[in-house]
Amino acid sequence: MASYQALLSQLMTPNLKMDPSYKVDEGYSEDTRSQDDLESPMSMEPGSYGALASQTSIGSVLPSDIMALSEADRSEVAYKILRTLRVSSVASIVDRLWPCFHKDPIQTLPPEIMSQIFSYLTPSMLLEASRVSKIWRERVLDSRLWKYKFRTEGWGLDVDEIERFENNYNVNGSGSRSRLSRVAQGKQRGPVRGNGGKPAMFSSGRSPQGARQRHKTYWPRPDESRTRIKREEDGEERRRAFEYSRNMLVNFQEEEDRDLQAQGDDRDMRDAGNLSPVSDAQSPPEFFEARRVSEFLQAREAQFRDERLALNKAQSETPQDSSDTKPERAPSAEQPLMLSPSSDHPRLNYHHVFKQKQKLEDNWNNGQYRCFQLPHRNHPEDAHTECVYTIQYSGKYLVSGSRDRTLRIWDLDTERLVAEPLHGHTGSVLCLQFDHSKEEDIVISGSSDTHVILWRFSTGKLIKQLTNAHRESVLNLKFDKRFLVTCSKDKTIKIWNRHELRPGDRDYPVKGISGGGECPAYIIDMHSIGSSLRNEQLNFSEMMLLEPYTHLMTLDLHGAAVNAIQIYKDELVSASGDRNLRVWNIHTGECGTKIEAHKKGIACVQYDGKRIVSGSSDNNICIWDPITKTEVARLEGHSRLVRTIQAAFADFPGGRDRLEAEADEVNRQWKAASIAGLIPVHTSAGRQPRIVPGSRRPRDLRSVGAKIPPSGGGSKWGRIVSGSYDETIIIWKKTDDDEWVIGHRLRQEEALRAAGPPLIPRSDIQNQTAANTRINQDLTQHNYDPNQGNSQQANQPQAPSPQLQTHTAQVMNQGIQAPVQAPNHAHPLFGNGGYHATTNGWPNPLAPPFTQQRQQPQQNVPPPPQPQPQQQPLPQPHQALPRPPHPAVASVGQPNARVFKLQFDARRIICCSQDPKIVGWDFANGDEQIVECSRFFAAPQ
Amino acid sequence: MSESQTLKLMSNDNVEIPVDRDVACRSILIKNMMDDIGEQAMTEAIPIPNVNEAVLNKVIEWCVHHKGDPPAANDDDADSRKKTTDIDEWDQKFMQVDQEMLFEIILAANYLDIKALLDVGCKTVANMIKGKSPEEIRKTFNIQNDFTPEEEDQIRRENEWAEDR
Repeated sequence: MASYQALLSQLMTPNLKMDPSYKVDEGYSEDTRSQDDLESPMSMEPGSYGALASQTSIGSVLPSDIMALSEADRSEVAYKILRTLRVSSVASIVDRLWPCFHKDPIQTLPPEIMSQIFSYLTPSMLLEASRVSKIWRERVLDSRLWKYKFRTEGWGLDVDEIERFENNYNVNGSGSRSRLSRVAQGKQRGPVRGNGGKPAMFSSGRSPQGARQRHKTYWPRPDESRTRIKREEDGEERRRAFEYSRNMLVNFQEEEDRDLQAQGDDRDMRDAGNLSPVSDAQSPPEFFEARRVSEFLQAREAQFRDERLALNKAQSETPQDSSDTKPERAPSAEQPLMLSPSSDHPRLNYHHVFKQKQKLEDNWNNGQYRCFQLPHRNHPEDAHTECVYTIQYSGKYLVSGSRDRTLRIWDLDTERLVAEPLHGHTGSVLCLQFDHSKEEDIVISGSSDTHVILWRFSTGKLIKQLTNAHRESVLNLKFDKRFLVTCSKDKTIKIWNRHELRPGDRDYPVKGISGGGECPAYIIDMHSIGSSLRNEQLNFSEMMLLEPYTHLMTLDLHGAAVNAIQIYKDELVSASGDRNLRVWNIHTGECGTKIEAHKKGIACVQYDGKRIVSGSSDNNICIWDPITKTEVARLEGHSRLVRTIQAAFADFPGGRDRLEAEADEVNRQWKAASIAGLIPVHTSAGRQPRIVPGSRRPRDLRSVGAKIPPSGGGSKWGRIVSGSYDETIIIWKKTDDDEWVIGHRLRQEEALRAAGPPLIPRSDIQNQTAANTRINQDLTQHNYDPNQGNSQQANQPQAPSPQLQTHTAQVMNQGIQAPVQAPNHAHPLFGNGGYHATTNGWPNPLAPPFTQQRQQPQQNVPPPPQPQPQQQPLPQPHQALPRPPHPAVASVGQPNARVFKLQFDARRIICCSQDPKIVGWDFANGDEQIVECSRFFAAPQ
Repeated sequence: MSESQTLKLMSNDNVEIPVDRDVACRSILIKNMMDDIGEQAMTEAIPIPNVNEAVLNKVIEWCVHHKGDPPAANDDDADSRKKTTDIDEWDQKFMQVDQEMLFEIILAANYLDIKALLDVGCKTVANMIKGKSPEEIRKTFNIQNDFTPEEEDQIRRENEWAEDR
């Protein structure tokens, strides 16, 4: 200490010539003043910080004794020196020190930590940050960050489709493994900085070896990452600009592994690629990541090869008119925006994908859509001849079932049939499910003829008929890989096996449980057999083999028709006209849960493992917590039977625990409010106030103690779409407060009209001049009414009687214009009440423009550069006018727009009704970039 | 093992810092090391080559305060939880340090594998970016704007899709 005091006094002596520009060493300073205290202007030129740093030679001016002091002592010396200065001098020193307090984190922190930091920011904040500098833009727009943002929004990705896309680029040469090897090389030759860069954002529990290995991960020195941003069209240069971030691939690969793991049990191939941490730990640490990733990729590649083969085969086998393919399906090689710039292996650019998804969601919220229809406007002969009771679509295919007793398979891209109608049922086709994957290749349909028919999807051939599957109409059916479940107007549910079963197999029905399902005599009760017999199981089971589609069990507890069922893993949920929902064990047939759900019969149900959503003849939609059997939300908006519903809660990754935690918080607040006396007591006499569905306000709670939050949970992107006999479709959306509100109400009838004939083919629309395009877009908006001003069309002559009509294919047009409603053909359950036969007066939108259209060029043929004026009739004046909310035609005759079945995916709602036409709303709204990306968006869940 | 075992950490500037075993084991790196080599770890100072004394003291201060916290949730869950930038009051105070110290704490937390501290550090930086205009961010971190006006215009147009969100 004495020497220190001596030094200090030596320093303080006036004869020591101190360079006034002397500053403390650029290293750590104890001064913790925040930047807000440093209001002074940026007086320093950019280079001065570096100059400051290089000035350590100033040390030579100082007694070396001072430099040998500890940090604390040197601070003391510096402070003492500063205190000798005038305030203005100190201020100028502070100015010069300014850069010490303000450092670009990108220059200091490794990319994966920056990624974690960015992951806390919203998209709009990220885009602000992307304007800071070029290096910031590079980092902020990193594809993998946006993939993470995408996932955490609660949005789903179609992993298969993305892999197919990325692999299509991969066919010529640069395979996954070459990319991998480069990653590995980069890791080895890269300079290894001390304070390791293990993955911050996507790290997972690891063995010690794994953890330590990760500390060696290379990240670039700051000067290396000072690369320049490149213009988007310059792919080669861009790749180099992002060179440094290549080492991140390994880290992010973990996240992708996890994605796949989350995909679930049925992905054996991929799961095989995910080696367990135990085996990882035993491999040499240096190759830890590389080996794991390479095995993973090999397994993946093998699978894609198979899938591609299957795909090609399926495409060549499937009858389709390739000339009808729309131009938007152009080869993806021309879509640089879709590719991530940061990888030398073709990877989807998730920033672009996120952007398109956001635009698409905006369209949903703003009601921006275009209507389309099946059949194609130029091919009315494809249409069903009577009303369509059921549809399902998947990928590019849609299958419909109609009262005309046929099923039809449609290509959604071309809006055409892919094959002849499927004939076989002798009654209305009421329900169907299909799976066009190569391994399944099946359509199963149920009918009012009491039969169930299995069809080969690719050929349309009838494979098998389950004759008299029920005693009455088969109202609904669902299948998974193990079981087919059917339900009927005969009040029962039946379970059938899809593959051979032997006693002892996992899916062999469990018989003889009290309260279980009723099994036929040929089902062995495994419990009643002595153990000695069980030893002879082998012989025994060969004898007792159950062929595929054997009736395994009947569930007979409902007191009325069972209208809808849903399988979720080992649970089966049913909805019945007896106003109850039931949850069954699919193996034993035990009914563990019965919910007295509605005041009237229940028409539709959906169960996703977390909540049950039901639609009823009491006009309401309810969301149920199946664990506590409580109603968490009631959505009131329809004025008649809610016939069809689909709910997508867009859950965050994280599962049940998160929902329960949210629900617990709501319950806790209710308790607090209850103790505080804030909960009004409803007397049965008093009219209950209307409750906002999903509201978390304690006084609005429908039920306390539920294990899911009041809205049913999920992200703000949750969506429920319901279709009703009130002829409307409601798109329910969530507010910021997690409450359900009516986002939009679509009128089926308007869609039928809007889906009417275009005045010019679509391909022409795309090639119009700017002015015409604008007009035409107006025309194709939902409020376009092709018939407005054509009042004479609204008074079409009466359609022929149904009996006459059914088999007169040559008068297809009339069949379309006037869907028929003979009581004997009405829907067995819902078709009678208020079901009027006054169908006519419905305009025939197809007739006159149809002839006109046939003069138009084929859809896919580009129009002549200078279209002749008479080919482009644009009766603009009246068509640009908005339609009145209720069309005059409603007073002329009742339109046939009771909604029977709808389905939505990320982009479209497709819906069938009393009309033979199937209509859709496309929320891509003609935006090519959205259309292009929407194939990567998973169907909402 | 007794509760109050002490072990020594050695910073990269060769300062030995005694730490309670429980506190040190907030670091997964140290915990795994202890699990691997057991009691030997108790006799010699554990070198922490990437962290200097000042930062190491700061990190230990954090670990002492959070000694009683429940163990970090499964990583998968933690990742998927809704990302908020909320930081509890003590941590906020703790993180009121100069940027260099902040970044060094983050790097140390990353190296020592103390996830909760890493999260707090990252959230602190995120909060320094949040709600700021590009110019304000530049000022906060002393960053030069290297875009031409034309580039800035183009970027602004490209970013329009997410405005007001």
